[in-house]
Order: sequence, then C-alpha cells, then structure tokens
Amino acid sequence: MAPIKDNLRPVQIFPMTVAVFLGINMFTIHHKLIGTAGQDMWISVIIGGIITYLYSLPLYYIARQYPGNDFPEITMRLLGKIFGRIVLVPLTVFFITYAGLGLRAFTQVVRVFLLDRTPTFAVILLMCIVVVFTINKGIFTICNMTDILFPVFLTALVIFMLFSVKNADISRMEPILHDNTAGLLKSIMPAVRSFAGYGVIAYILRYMSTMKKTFKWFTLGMSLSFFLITAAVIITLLNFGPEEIKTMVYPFLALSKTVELPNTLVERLEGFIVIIWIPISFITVTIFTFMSVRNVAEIFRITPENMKIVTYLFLPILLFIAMYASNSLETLEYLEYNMTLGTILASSLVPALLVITLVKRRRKSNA
Amino acid sequence: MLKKILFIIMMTSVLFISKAWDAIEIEARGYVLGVAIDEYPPMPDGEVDPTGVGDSGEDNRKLGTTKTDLKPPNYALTVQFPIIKKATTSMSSSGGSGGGVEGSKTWQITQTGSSFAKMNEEITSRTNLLPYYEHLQVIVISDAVARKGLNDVLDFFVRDPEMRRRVFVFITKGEAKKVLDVVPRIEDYSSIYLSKLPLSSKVNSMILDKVDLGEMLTCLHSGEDFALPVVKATKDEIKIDGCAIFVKDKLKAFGNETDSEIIKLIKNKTIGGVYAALGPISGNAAVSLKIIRAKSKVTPVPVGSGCGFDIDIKIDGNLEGFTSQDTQGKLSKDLIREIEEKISRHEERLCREVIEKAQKEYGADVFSLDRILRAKLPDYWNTIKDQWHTVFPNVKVNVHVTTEIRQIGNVR
Repeated sequence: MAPIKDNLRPVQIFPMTVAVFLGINMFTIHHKLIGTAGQDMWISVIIGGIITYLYSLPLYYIARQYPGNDFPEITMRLLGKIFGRIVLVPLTVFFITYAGLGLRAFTQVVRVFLLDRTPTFAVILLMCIVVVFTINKGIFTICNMTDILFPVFLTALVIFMLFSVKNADISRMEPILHDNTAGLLKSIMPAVRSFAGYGVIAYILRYMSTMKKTFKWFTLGMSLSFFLITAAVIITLLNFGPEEIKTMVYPFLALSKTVELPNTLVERLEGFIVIIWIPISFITVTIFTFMSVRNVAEIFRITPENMKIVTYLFLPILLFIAMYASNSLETLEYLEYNMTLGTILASSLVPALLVITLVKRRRKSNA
Repeated sequence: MLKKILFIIMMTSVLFISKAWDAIEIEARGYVLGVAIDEYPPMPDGEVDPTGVGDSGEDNRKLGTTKTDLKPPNYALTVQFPIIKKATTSMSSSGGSGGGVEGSKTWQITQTGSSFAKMNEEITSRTNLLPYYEHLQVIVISDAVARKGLNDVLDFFVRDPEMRRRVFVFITKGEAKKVLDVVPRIEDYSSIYLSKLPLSSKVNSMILDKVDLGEMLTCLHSGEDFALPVVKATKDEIKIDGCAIFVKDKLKAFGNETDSEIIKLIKNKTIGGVYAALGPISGNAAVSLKIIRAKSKVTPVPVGSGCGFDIDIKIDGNLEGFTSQDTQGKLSKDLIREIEEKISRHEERLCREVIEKAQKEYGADVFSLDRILRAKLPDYWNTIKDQWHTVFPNVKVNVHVTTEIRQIGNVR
C-alpha cells in the first residue's frame, strides 16, 4: 500500500464527481440515444441515471470497507494477486481508451470552434503534456484543479442552458411516451453505458481526510450531474427536435451556434462552449489516465517514487489512442465499443467484489 | 537525467508550437456578409458593376465560371465582401450610397459551378482575401433555385463550421444577386441592411421573422412545410414583400403580406405590429390597434373519423387611431367593445381566408398543424402521416379571435 501524502476534504468529491460524470457524455449522449428513444431520450437518461446511481452504491460500500486502499489495491486483496491482476488489465484498457478517445473528441470540438487549422496532433500533444504533468503532481493537484475549474464551467453551463431556452418549442418533445416503450427500453442500456465516471469514487476515497459526509457529497455530485445531463438533453430536444438531432454529430455543442443575443455584450455563445468543454475534457482525461496509472502501478507493484515513469509511459499510449480514429464518427463508434467493455467489466466485477466483501465480513464477524 | 531530457523536449517544442497555427491577419480575411444563389445559366448580371472596375459584361462572365470535372455548372454563387476602407465611420456626416466615398463599398464576386465548396474555392482565385463566413448575415435564394429544391443547396452552408444557424434566409423573384447589388441609403452594406429588416417585425405584423437557416433546417428534416420571407429590390432599396410557401424543400407559391401576417399569428410568432378594421363609427373609417400581445392556441379536435382544429387567438392591444376626426370625444365602453368585436371578426375572416388559400391554393401546411397533430394526437397522426398533404386541404379549421383594448391614448 502506498503511503498517503495528500489528504482531500470530503467536499472535494462533489466537483470531481460532477466533472467526471458529465465528462464527454454530456456532448455525446444524444448521438447514442436518439436513434432508439427519439423524443423520449430524456426519460432514458433519467432511468439510466437512477440505475447508475444504484449501481454505484455497492462500489462506494466496498471502498468504505477498505479505508486506505483504492480500487486496484482492494481488487488485489479480494481476488488475489494473480486473478486481481488479470481483472485489472482490461479495466486499465477501458480507462486509458476512454481517456484517449475523450481527448480526441475534445480536439475535434476545439478544431470546430476555435483552432480549425491547428493540426490535431498538436492539440492532442499539448493536452497530453498538461495531463501527464498534472497526474505527476498527484491527486491533491488534480482535485484542486477541479475545485478551481468547477465553478467556472458550471456557471458557464447554466448560463448557456438558460440562454438556449429562448428558442425552445415544447411540441418538439411531444408526444411523450407514445408507442415508444420498446425504443425507450432499448435506450436504457446505452444511457447506463454513457455514465462511466462513477468508478472515480473507488479511487479517491482512499485520500480522504475523513469518511464523514463523503456519501453525502458523492450523492449530491451524482444528482447534480444527472440533472445537468437531463437538462442538456431536454434543451437540445426543445431546440432541434429528434429529426434534426439525428443529423448532428454534437447537438449540444451545435446549440451554441443557434443562440444569438444581438446588441449584448455576449452576442455569441461559442465562448461559453470553450469555457465548458476545455475544463470538463481536461478533468475527465486526467482522472481516467490517473486511474489507469494507478492500476498499472498496482499490477506491477511499482513504488510511489517510480509512479512518474508509469505516467510518462502512458503519454505515447494516450497519443496513439487519441490519434487512431480517422474522424468524429469513428471516435464516437470506438467510444461506444469501449463503453460496452466498461459496462461488461463493471457489471461482472462490482457484484463479484461485493459478494466477496460480504462473505469476508460475515466470516470476520463469525470469528 | 529524465528532467533534462524533458526540459530539452519542452524547449525545442517551443520552436514549433509557439505560433498561432490559425492566425490569419484580420485584413487578410474576406468577411462574407451575404450570399446570393442563382440558377445558371444565365449568368446573373446586376445593374451595379460587381467588380467595381467597370466591366460587368463579358469579362466577368469568363472569370466567374468554375471549370471542374463535375457536371456542368448549374448554380451561380455570389458572395459579398465589404470593402472595409470605404466603410463610412460613425464620425462621418454622410453614409449610405457612397456619400463622401467614391465607388461601391462592397465587392460582389459571382462564381458558377455545380459544387458550392468548389465555387467557394474558385472565388479565392479572384481575390487575395480568404472567404470567411463567421459573419455571414443573409442568404438570398432566387425563386428558380427554390423551385428546384433547397436540399441540393444548403448542405455547404450547414456543414461548414464557420456557418451559423441564425443566418437569415430570403427568397426573391428573379435574380438573387440583384438584392446584394443594392446600394443602401443608410447602411454601408446591403447584407447588413437586409439582415436588419426582420427586426422591424417588432412593429410590423406582416414581416416574417425568425425564419433562419436553423428553423428552416428543422422544418426540412422533420418534413414540415414552411414559409420564408420574400424580398424585392430596387437600386437602393430592399423591401420584404410577403412570403414564399414551401412544400418540403420546394417553392410552391408566393403569398402576400396578409398571408405572412396570418401565418405568424397562427404560429404564435407575432411580436408586434398593427391590426386594422373598418368601422364601427363609420363604414369607411378604419380603426387600428397596436398589438401588445397576440397569442394563439391550436387544438386538434376529432371530427367524425378524422380530425379538425380549433384555433383560439387572443389579441391585446392599444387603440392606435381612427382615420376619421369625427370619432374624437365619442369613445365609450360600449364603443370600445364594438371596436374589439370589429377587429376580432376582421382577423377571423383573414385567418379563414388564408387557411383556405393554404389548403386549396397552395396545398401547404405552413401553420405547422402537422407538428401539433403529431404531438397531441399521435395515434391519429400515425394513420395519416403519409397522406398528410392530401388530408390537409380538407381539414376543418375553426378560428375564434377575441380582442381586448388596453389603452385608448390621449383622446377619448
């Protein structure tokens, strides 16, 4: 077990959960759901959110049972050194692939909104360097960065959504739940798959100064994330309608080109997208890379002093994954495959760990 | 050692990344303010010399043809660049049609071709400026192009990241380029002048507003009919003159200003203007009402095995005036009620006429009744959605208008 140098306050779970949970899901979720759920996609987001929250509770419970241990350490303790390592490998692949594809999606959007002539590689490389630098500074720096960026992107997000209400038309969401039960049911799993970020709790709980109120802040963070994602989906639907959304790559981002506030200080809202997108992407990529690094460090029993080497080794991997897809649609397709892998892993690993934890606890109490 | 290597990499990378890759000097950009799309052949040829050097004839025709290995050119794309150095500053005492400034303040380049991206590319062979569409204000489309269909035209304007969905789209009878060639009296650029005209819908109920690229695309993708404002131009003036009625993506007919007024009223888009009716004091005296608020509620109702619509419209307004002096001092509560009744019946009649025209003459559901049907009676909608254009002309629509006068002004 690595010594803990940094202590986080329970409240710091809140911005971290919101940022990672929103992640790039907020911008890609429409793409996954519109084809099956149509105008009812917002309902599948709510149901998917509730399922994800319920599913995250066992993970939180497991993490609480082993204070001073993070997820890879707990996995090794519960599943043994060999089987634990076998399990952590695909999990690491999922995390780093998510980080890499998230990085690519980030770059594509930045190229559309800001730097249309800057080579993709240049944007990705710069972001990678910043991500690796931040991870090397430790979890305390990552969480503090999130604390600083959180109010900025949250305010921009709320303002952006409020302005977008201007062109809303409620009839674009209707009829609600009419003859669409099958479509709605089909879209629940893709909605659940979209919420990849809840695993972060099992990685940062170890660094808490106290466990008091951690659950409260985690629940609040998840609730706010679900609320914001649902609101984003509804606002996009009200502005474009389901048929129009089907034609778009990033519908929520396209909203910024729809809303104009003539004769005001902020006439166009692209600036808000930059304020929202860059911090959210940065935090998501950083935390997912951090989780991969922690897994690898535990798989190979790397001491905290040598953790930096692992982080540097992840730089080319991150670059490769981010550069692999040819275009936006391929990126979204790979993301979907990766989320399926994540769902399979989560749906098998969390129940298994829970059962082992409960059995061990019973044995301990019997003894 | 690792730190040293990293330091060297970082220092070296500064050489490659410390440049704004996207930097284009502001004076190197060609800010496209307006776009006109015409059918080709023939080459559009406005009254104003498009190049500003006096050769709008044969030479311009030669320059403006894109030779590609695609199909023969069938569109003529005109883009309007502002000539910034000729712009009238706010400090100048005169502006508009060249007051104090020699020559045209804009440069319209027309290029023909079959692909808009290629035409746009070809334009750069005639100007040292890079066409930049972030500030595009208007797209003017000729009726000939609109009749062929908008689907073939719009993709370039939607896909390009520089384009915005709030760009106004106008239809014109005849050459679209002529609208850009207008030399406005007050504004410097015809595109800016044209983009500001829909703002008058705050005080003019007959101007279609909020009909932009985004709104149009939403209608096109969901298969709804729609109306776009029609403009006509003289040498120095542009007028919004009714509306163009579209069925799917094709121009079907032109509507007049009353049609625009009623389309807006039923679609709940009226934000201002004046409604007028004859009477009640004298049959020849018109009474007018300045609109404060006009709200409509469209409700689908079952009619036999089919469906009809009840449209309830509520108008709040201030008494704006009579055309007869005899009315002064005669206003009473009863008379106000009578005026309200007159205006209500007048608007009801107009609504019925325009709805009937849309049903029988245009065959276009410009009121988006299909959207309401789909939302409110989805079961019924599913049975008729493929035949909506044959069902719509026979749909029964009841209109009921109520009017309330809030202020009567300074004279009783």
